[in-house]
Amino acid sequence: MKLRLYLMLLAAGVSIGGCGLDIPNPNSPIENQVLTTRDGIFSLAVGLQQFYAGSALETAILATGMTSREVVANSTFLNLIELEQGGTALPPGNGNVLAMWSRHYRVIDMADQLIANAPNVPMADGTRSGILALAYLYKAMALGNLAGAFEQLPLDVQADGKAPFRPRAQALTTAVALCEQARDLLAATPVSTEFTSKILATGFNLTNTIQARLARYSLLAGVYNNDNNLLNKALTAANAVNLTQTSVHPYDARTQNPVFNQFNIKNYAPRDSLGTPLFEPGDARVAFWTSPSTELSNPSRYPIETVKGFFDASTKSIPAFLPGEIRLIRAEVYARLGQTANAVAEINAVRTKQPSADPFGIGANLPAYSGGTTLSDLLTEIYRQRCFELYLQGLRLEDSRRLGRPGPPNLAERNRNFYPYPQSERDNNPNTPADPAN
Amino acid sequence: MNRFFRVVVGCIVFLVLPLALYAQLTIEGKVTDERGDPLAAANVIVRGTRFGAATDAQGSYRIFIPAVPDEVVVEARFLGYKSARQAVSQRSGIVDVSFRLAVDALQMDEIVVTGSSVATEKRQLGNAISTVGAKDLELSASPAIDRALSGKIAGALVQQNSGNPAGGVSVRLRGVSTVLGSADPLYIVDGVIVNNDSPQLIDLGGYAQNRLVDINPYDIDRIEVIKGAAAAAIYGSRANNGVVQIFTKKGVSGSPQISYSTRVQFDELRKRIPYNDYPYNKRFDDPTKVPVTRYDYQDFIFQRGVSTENFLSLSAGAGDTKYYFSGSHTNSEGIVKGGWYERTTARARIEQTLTPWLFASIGANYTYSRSKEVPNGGIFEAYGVMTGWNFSNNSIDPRPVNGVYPSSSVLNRTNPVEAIDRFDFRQQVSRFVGDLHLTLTPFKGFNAEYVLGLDNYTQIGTAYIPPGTTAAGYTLGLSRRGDRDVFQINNDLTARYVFSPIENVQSTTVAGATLQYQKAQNFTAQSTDLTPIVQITPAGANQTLGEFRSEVVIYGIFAQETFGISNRLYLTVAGRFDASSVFGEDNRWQFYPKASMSYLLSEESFWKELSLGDYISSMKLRASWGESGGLTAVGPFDRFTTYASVSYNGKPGLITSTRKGTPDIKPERQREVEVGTDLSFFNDRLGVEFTYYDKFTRDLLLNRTLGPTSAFLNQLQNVGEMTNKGFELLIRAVPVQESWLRWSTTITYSQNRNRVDGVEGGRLGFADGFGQVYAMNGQPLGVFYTTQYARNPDGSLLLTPAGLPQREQVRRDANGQPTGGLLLGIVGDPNPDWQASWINEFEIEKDWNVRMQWDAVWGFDVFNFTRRVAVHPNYGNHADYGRELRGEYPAGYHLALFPILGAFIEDGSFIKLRELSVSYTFSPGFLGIKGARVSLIGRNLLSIDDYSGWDPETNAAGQSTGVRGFDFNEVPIPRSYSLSLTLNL
Repeated sequence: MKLRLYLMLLAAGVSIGGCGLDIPNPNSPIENQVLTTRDGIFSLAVGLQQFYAGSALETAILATGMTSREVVANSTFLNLIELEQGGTALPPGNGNVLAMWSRHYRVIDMADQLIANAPNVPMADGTRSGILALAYLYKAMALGNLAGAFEQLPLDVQADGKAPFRPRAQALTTAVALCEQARDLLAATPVSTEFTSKILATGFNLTNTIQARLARYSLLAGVYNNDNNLLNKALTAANAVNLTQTSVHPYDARTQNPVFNQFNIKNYAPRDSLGTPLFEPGDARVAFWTSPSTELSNPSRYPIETVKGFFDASTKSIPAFLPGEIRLIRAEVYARLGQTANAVAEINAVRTKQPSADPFGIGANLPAYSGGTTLSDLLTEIYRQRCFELYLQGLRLEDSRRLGRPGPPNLAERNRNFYPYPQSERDNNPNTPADPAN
Repeated sequence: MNRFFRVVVGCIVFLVLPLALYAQLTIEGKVTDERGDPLAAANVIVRGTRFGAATDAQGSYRIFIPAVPDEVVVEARFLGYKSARQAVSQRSGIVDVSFRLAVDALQMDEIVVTGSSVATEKRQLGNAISTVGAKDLELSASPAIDRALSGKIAGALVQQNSGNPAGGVSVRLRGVSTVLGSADPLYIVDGVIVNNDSPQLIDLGGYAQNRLVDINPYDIDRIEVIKGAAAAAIYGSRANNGVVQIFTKKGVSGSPQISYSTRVQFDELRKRIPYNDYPYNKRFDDPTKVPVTRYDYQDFIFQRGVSTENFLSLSAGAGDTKYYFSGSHTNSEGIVKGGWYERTTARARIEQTLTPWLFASIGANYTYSRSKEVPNGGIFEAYGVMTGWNFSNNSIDPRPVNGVYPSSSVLNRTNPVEAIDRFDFRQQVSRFVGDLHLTLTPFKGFNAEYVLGLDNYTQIGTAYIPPGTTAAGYTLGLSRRGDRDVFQINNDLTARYVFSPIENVQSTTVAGATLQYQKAQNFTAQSTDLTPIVQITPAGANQTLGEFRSEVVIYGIFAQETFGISNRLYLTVAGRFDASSVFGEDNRWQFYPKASMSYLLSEESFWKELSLGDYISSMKLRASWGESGGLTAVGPFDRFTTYASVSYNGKPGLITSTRKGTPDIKPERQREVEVGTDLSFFNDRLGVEFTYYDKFTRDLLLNRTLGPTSAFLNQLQNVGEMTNKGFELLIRAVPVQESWLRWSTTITYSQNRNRVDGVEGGRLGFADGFGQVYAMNGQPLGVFYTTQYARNPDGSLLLTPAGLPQREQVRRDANGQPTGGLLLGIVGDPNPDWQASWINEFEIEKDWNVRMQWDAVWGFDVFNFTRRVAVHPNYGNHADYGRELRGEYPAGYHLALFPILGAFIEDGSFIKLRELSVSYTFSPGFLGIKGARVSLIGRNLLSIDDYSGWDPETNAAGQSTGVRGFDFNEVPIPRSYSLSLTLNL
């Protein structure tokens, strides 16, 4: 009888065996499906570009744009009011600061996943070099954006949540190194047509963007590390950028221009004179970026305009860099290296540019520079040109600090130097440093 | 006679002859109560065999059994009476065995299977188990089982969330043991684990049917309820919320019996909310006021609904075969115009004794239901009749002019009359539930049972808002369709061996295994900007699709050993190993132990020696301890970190998720200790059951925030804790048992204290709680945490200089006014302090039956959001706003009240006359009708409460676990009257 019972249980066991416990998820893929397959790696490389263009970039442009007074809040959401007020009114729990921080670390995570796994998945060499270069570049862009807003930051994600923080100057030199890695990889193994047709966003010029970012981060790292070698590196890279070719993040109905959407739902509005006191009458660029309006912002009653430029339609592309930035990088390097004439020549190239001469139609159409030529004078003029040439490119907070503009406790031009670290980072990461005073 | 016919007849004779030869013993007799009155539908069985019969209306029965080698024991059982046995030594012929059964208020002889998986007498159990019989349900005039259970089980809080005909019901057994999952118990019908989800395929504003509504209460024979881990451990990972096991009717031996019931029901709004009838648009002292006509929108929305219900069953048993067939049709109009629900069911049960040691039972149930739904509107959608009413300014006539319905609100809300007339929201369900039981009794003391249970349904919801309505956001039309297909199967094998290792000790060993599989597939399609007239989703633009597929596998094996010592001490230990596909790989196998004891003190000799039985006829002490699991909060794929699909630049892409998977996810684990006693007095005429329990749930799944540099923002983790402590009291008595009157009474009382801990940051909001409802550490689940009145130290309201109430803030300024930012606080708790019910039944002169059930739920708060909107000056359709216009409140009073959400918390305590029925039973004596009964039944006739809304028993969030007691535009529970006729042929 015990045998009979045993046999019955055995029979039950056999019938059970037909139904496994490892049921895959048919709704969304998981790590080992994505990171070990060609399709998965290709899709993740597309996703990296999508997430940067559709999510991370918005915070880099608008959060820092609010802090550097390019835009103001135009709704009564508390997080936006806090950001607009800045100073000590900006708490560590602010949602926009958290979004800027967390979205960029997701970009870094996706880039790292590609860097770690693309070499192990079979694919054409030119496709792999393209994917890796893309990953290096996007990681550099994420670190660069973060270094523009935070005083210290982890250089990598860390699964246990205890990533160490490093000074932002180090983040910038890491960005320089990543751009160089990308540049050298593409020089050794040019990208395949498979990469350009299946992965790379149409209109995004990879080599040009790598050089442009290398120039940008070399300049910033050079200034903050006081390193002329890096300044020369910036000059070399800037000279390598083809100024007639554009590079953009494209948008369509399914991944819409996120900055447009934020303006469109009236969370933000551009300020009169692009939000800077340095407006020079006759500058034609103001009309490129905004159209006049007599409106005042809600609730703070700043005079505001209607946004134009790259932000007035849901499918409008946002440039990955602007030609004017490259000239102004050169101008700043020359100025800092004491080559005043070269610096003025670059400034004038920007000041006298006709809109028609610029691939995006940005042109100041101003007379040549006639001001002083001390370093301080030149840097102020470079700052002025950057304000108007590079409006809403996520650069003004960085420029305002670097080029010696008044800052906190004077909140007129920028309401903070650096953001407080997000509360959820502090709650979970013991390495989070003290918040900067302002 | 042709040749074929002769062959057929020959075969039949050949087949029947052996049966005739062996059918040798006939046992017949009557079963009566102590007064000698017949007990109909009592069970008489031959112990140790499958043979048995039920008594007819005259209390008579007859059992045929084949030749028997030994003496047989015949046993008669009837719920509420002590069972009785008689030995029969005669081996053949006809023998008369009649029984007189004594009242047993405690029902200790009742046989239950839930919790031990084999038939066990209640006296042996170390835990309380509640049972409800068909008799308790048949006069409740309720279309759904769970609704009918209200007030009938100590320790069960049954809450009807909506007054729609198929409105959802939430059942909480000894409190809630999860935050993120469903808190409803596991339902098992005839061994089939049935799905009781509440799918919201089209947004009806929180309201949803729960799928138990597919089962016709008329088919129910008996319900057994166990309420926590101490009893439910052998159900493993699905037992945290308790288990409700439902048994449907079976055929009984004897000639075919036909039962027909018909019922007509009228439903109406029990109470009206007083409306603003002030005949001017502005305050009495405002010179610019002009006369307006005010309307009571309730006139446009509510109706007296008529429902009909018809039920027919046929059952019989002859020889080795018994069967039961039934069919029913229910057609219900709701109290909201335009809504209805219709359900058709068919059920069959065939039982066949194949050999003396093999018995098979096959059951099949098919249900088709369809409904026309009237959406309420609610938190996520602004369309809907009820929100349309709530946000209406009642000086606007909502009726159409030239076919155009006016906007009846300053806000963009739907004109409720238009929603009734023009919206078309429907649901339909097609469901099959089937089971196969095979029972083997190969040798003495051993039996084994295999159960295959299958449950499959398809639910389809469609929503249509035509273009050109007042529906905000959908003025160009909306078409939505949601399909859900669910398939569940369970295989259970249980074996039992009973033997006596030494004298006076009986050992019962049970071992079993189960394999459960469930698959659910959801698909939704939606479009807006519709072509006029066409209702299907391709007719519009902005088409969006949604799909989710899930599969879950559960294995379980269990063993249980019970020792019965001298029929007075019973000790049980059991354990179950469980594995599920939803658990993380390292936590896949879980173990749940249990132990219990039951001690019948009154069986001891000293009890008799001391004549204690004169005072306390029986006394049982019981204690049990057990652990169980809960997986309702564990999603089928929560263990995985997933990637989301995106499209960029025309290329397919994948991005990482903000939520990190939980690779080590495991079930929420509950530990319960339960102690209690069962006492009976006055010769078992009064029975008392008392139970104290302490449930502690750990590994509660909650969301945790992660540092963003870990690449994720949050993760589900098994980090929370919850306790439920309380007690239950059941008193049953038969105070009068005279020849002309039998009065029986039942009182239940229970209370539960719930407490949540381990919530990160101390507070977790619920998405369907309007930002007002939280799980908070140290508090019961679902407290209302929001803005509150500013008060003086003596508790009186601190008014503004203008004399209006205001919100509390963190400090007082120099003038003693609040300043410095809002101070939120806990303003209410939707969990009742206690609940009770009192059921009285009178049988007068045997043919009249009067039954009355009062339910009380006491000490709970309701968030009256409906009132908050209705008194706001923008809408102002509530009488209280009319009083402000008349000058009975200071100007601006209700506007000032609006942001003080705590001002809209009300005490929901109520005592309801839940059921009242009067029945007359008679024998018409024509058309072969053996018995007939006419009943007049009332349900929810009366409510004694201080609640200002329609009914404190409501919930805008439907069957939500965390959000309870939220009154926001849910259809109220109607008052129902019905007249029913039952004929037995």
